[in-house]
Amino acid sequence: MNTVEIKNLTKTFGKITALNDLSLNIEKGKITGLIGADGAGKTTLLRTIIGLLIPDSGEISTLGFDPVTQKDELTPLIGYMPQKFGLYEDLTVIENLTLHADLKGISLAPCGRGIKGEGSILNKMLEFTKLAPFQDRLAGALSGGMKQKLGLACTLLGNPEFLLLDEPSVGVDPISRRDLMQMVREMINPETTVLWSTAYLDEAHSFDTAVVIDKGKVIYEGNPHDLGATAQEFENKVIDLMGGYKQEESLIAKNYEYTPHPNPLSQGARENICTVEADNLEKKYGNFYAVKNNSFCIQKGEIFGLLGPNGAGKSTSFKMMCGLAKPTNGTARIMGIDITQDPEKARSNLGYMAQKFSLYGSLTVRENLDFFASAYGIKFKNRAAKVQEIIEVFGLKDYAEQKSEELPLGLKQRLSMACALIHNPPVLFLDEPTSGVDVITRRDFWNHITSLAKKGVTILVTTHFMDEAEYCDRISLFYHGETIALGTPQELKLKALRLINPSPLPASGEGELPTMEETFITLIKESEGE
Amino acid sequence: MKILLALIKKEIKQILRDPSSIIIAFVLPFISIMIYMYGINLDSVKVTMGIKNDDPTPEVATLVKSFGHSKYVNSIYFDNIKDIETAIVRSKIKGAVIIPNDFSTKLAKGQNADLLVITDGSEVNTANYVQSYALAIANSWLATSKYAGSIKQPSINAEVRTWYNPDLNSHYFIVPGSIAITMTLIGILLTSLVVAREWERGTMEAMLATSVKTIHIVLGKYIPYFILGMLSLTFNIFLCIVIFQIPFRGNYLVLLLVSSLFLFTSLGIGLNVSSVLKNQFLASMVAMSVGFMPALMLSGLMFPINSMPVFFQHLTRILPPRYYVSFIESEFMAGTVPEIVIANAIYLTILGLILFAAVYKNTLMRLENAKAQHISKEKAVKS
Repeated sequence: MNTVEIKNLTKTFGKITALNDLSLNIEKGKITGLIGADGAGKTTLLRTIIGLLIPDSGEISTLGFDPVTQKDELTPLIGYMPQKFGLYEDLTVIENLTLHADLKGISLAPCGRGIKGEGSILNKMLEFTKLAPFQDRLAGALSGGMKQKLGLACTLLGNPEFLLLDEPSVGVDPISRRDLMQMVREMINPETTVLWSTAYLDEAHSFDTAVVIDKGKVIYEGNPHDLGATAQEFENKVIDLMGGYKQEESLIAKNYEYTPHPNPLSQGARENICTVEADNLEKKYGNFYAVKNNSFCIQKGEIFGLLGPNGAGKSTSFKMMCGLAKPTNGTARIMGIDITQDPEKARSNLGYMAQKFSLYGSLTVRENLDFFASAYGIKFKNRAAKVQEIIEVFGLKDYAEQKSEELPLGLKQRLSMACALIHNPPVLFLDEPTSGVDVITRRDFWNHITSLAKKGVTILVTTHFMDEAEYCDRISLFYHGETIALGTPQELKLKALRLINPSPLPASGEGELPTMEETFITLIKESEGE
Repeated sequence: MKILLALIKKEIKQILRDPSSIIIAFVLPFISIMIYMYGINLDSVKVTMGIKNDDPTPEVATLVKSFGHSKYVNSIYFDNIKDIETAIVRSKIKGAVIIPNDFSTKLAKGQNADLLVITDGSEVNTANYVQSYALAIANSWLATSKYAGSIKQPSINAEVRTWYNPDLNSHYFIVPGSIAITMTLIGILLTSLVVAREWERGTMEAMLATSVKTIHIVLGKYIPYFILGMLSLTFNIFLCIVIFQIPFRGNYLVLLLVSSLFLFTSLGIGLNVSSVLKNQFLASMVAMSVGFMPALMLSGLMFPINSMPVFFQHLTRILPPRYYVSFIESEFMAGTVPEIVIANAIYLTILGLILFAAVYKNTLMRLENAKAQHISKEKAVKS
């Protein structure tokens, strides 16, 4: 018996085909992971399954109902958590829960006992989500992980037969991700079907069934362990299914010329030690430390990763490093120039690729590059030639006259990197450069980054993809504004291994090292235990 | 019913926690009434005008003097036409009267005498005042002068009595009329944001996946904002009558009833805008231009509807403020006139119901318009 049966489903939005002749069955009583990059069609598929969108062609049956004509019969049986969790930010935790209970027509207070009475559903939910201490807090004031749990609790009210969660784990830390999966498994009964969409391939292994979609088509459907025993193998197999990725010499790195800007301060011994340096950086908002005692020293040609969940202080550190935010205490130096004293000069040494790529959507590729070239101070007479060169090196020739908002995400990312590199900076700052792009584009991107580092570019990168940490030479693990661990990926894993298993058998070799995600969780738990 | 109550409760909590809705409902009306009370004045004002007399006879000197005595005019005496020109350019005087040298001669012969009145056409309103004041002063002088007998008196003597507003105080109709503008603003601006906000924050999507029906969503928005609007209206009326002492001759119950109909139409416009656009910024911009501007320009409050171009006269018929302004002005100044009340109430009810139906139709129970999709589907099948 299948909960969902889909045959030849097609859905278009104007010129864009979101779902392309897709057929899929979702088995009852299983947790199915729907995996794909941004724009692969995950959200459209979920919305179509529950009748929020109407397909152009094809047939769907959800719990035996046609979502197009029988939406009213279908909705009482499902629980759907949209992206952003669908919470009212100006209502408290309790108020959100009671509202959803009322909307679903279920009573939170069976047998006339008060809604907060013993054994009430409300109490059970609060206990389960560990939100009881925050029950009178406004939903908008909760952390990302807590919002996600509250959203899930609201969705679970009324014991739906079919649970659909749209990217519930985006942007939250690995611990919250793990809690969430556990919550879902505990709260549902064996009959319940769960459809869970995610952009993280490494999450695939926690599902009973994995459905990988790309460009509106299913490219894999089945037990995730059949495809790869580890997350890494799974990812490689998915890449093969998507057409494969061949690593080639990076043209971008090949054309890059390392030219440190001449300045008296960097002539000294310091340049040899640190190209980027954070010196007790601290940022305080009222009584709250967004960043505390952050110190590190990055050397020439090193890739340094800042890892941590949303809200851990990565972006704040980043903004202070490029002089966009003023540190409460401490300072940062780029190529030896103090960012608090001469921010403009320090900035002239770095290329900055901001989150969400910060391009001008209505300008063409060429116009964007031209603008950034002038913003970085490239002289007018050299500008056109430089822009043309960059367009060719970055493979943007076919898109040069297209508006940047019309580009697919992967190309936006490449254009954004081109804009950051147009003035050949010796230091490159990348803020969440791979968020939302598909796995092949990510591979390609990291190929360019590692090649640039070999040419001597110092790279500081933030990411919340744990597996990307492997590309970094050194990592700083960020949690609640503080660095909880700093070292090479290997060192951190060994440290975690020793915490998991204090007396390792001499036989245990490298193969038993924990994954980056496990490392992260172990180290966080360790820091909280202190 | 339980769902509806839950939605209303939720909406009221949101209103109470959002300072901006309280500001729009209570502070904004206060500011706008202050502006209409003290900032806008359509009444006659004291104007300064210049006088040049080329006819130096004792009789004409009394005419010049009577310009000086008028309570509407400040007069400045000039000898030179050039000086008058300079004074007008510098806005020292708003106009001038020049008495020609044959003025008394002509009058004495029983002929029509000429008087030159110069006005500043760049300020049309003031120019009208200058013209009418000058004529009025000259005529009243004539009636008492020694030439009075030799001039033919007009056989009809009009005695003017202004009903309802004997002082012709424009505040008495502008301030109540401004309630119409404020109510439009509240009804449209507040509601234009609320549905769009639910779409933007993704809460609408979550709600559509529950057993909520269209009628719940629609009434769940209408009712709380209706309550807020009525509170704001009561506050407005209190300001007008108690604080600003605008005379009220009508019936409070009738005032509240017809006002509630008007509020019903405003909410309808706002909710339509919000449901269709699904974007707070866009919705508030559109709400201002379809709600506020017509209420100000086309309601008959500032500019009489009869003097508008024919197209706009017809356009005002579909705009609720027209009916409300007409009602509220008469309710305040003339008292309850059944014909006016009933006619306007019927129009407002019809418009309100049409808008309600449109809101119902525009409230999607999916993320896209189902009908449009079916049509395109049918087309696809045919082709």
